[in-house]
Amino acid sequence: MKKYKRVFSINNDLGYRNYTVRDIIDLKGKKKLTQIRVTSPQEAAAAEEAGIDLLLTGPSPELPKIRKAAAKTFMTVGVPFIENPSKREATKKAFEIIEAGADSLMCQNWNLDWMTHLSKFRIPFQSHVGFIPRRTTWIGGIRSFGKTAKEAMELLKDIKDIENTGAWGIEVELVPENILAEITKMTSLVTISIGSGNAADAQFLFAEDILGQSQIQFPRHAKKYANFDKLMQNLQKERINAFKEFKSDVKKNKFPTKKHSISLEKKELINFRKFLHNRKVNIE
Amino acid sequence: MKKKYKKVYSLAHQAGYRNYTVRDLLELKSRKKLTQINVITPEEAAAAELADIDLLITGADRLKEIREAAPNTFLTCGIKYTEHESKESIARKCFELIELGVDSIHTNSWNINFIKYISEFNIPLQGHVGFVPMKSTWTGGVKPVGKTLKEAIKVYEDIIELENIGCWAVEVECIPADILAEISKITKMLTISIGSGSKSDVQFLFAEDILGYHNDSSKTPRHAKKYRNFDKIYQDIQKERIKAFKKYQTDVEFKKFPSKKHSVLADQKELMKFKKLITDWNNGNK
Repeated sequence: MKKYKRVFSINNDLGYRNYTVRDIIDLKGKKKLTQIRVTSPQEAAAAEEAGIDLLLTGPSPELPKIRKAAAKTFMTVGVPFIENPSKREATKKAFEIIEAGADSLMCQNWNLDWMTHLSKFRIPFQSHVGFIPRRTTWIGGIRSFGKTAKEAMELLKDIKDIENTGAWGIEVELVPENILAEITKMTSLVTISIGSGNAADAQFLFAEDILGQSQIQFPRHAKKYANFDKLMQNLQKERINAFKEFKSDVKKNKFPTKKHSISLEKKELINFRKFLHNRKVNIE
Repeated sequence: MKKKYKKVYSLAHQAGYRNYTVRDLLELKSRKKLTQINVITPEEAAAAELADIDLLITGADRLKEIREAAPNTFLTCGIKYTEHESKESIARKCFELIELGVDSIHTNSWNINFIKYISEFNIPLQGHVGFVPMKSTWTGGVKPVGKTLKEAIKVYEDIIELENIGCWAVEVECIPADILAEISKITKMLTISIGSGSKSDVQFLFAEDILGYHNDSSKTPRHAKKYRNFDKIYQDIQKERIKAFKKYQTDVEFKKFPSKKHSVLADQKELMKFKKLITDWNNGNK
């Protein structure tokens, strides 16, 4: 099978992708997919090279570079609701992100009505249920969601509501594995697990957790595959040492040397000195 | 021993600590050779401060993060002339950068009247003469400037013009070392050499050249010295990223991740209740 297929993106650019949204929906229950959240072009490029199926990123100024770095991987981009406090503004922002090359949008914390509106444009989007950081005040803080039958039912209804808006996928965070296993069978949405066990259609992690470069305390549900904290510290030591060597070279007059400098014909130097001398005399 | 940082007010009236004030720098002329580095990331800025580099210079893009990463080092920030069509516009930009904590502004390629105008606010300015990339069509392309008497006089006049305006320093790029040696003795400004030999008051290089990685240029310029091979180091790091992501991909594919310890479970009793509710709900929906 060919790795990439020819596609039109939703902003009408001709290119190549690993999946269309149709492919992802068709793979539900057939193939387990991976998704990574990336925040730099380097992470995006590494993910594409590693054959990660889906990427998620934010609408940062780096988005065009991230898209370019992983040009062929199905990429979902978050559309923040706080800065876009109306259906119209959220849609406008969504269009802007689509123009930057997104294949799908992440409508986290969006009003359901806005999502229904977005789907009338046939724009692919995913959303988020279970433990949602911004909504944790409603569930009593940082904890898993859906351990009781009552909560599990709430979750199922949330997912069905989102399914009805026309979404293609749903990130499910910190939900019991056996509950998500049941729900995954009952929804047409592609379920994307983070901290919700291995019975989902896709598995999601943050690149910074995989690399061991977490900004916050390492989450219990994540797995470190490298120690980038250490690697970056060593890199910083190399930067500091390089700058120290430069400073010491300058201090000891070891840099710049002749080979770093531009020479001048003796004659021109004498003429220039004469010019400076005459000028001084004139001023005096 | 002299304290490393002194208490100062920034140009925006924020109390803080710095290695130098402009006055200190002017007084150090021809007494102490200083270093300046152009940084483009907070990591580079932090490393430069820890390495006791005397002066930093950067662009406006990531200024806030860079100032935070090196809060105690005298920092100059460049403003692109093509983004400001008037004195008023460039003044507004200067004020914005000052509020972010810069100690001096770099006037690369500005209209000379704009430089005069900004100087009237007593904002410390650093100019740029010799080979100036954005003006190099006037000097014949990428090549040294000042090898003939006529060109050397022009460099001298440019420097005196900046001095008369009130600039505290001037970056002098790719002129003969002997010419800069002569001019450095005459001007009250600090001369900052890049590719102009060792007889200046300050030696300047780009962090990317010192570290040996390449963003825009394809190779290290002749006048720079590479102290590390970061191109190679960054490639190795990228290989590590790819390896980590591949292991994750394989783990998920072979169901090795997530395991029990990464997951939570609902009690068997609650699960049974949930299944029953689902059945009722499904029947209700039919």
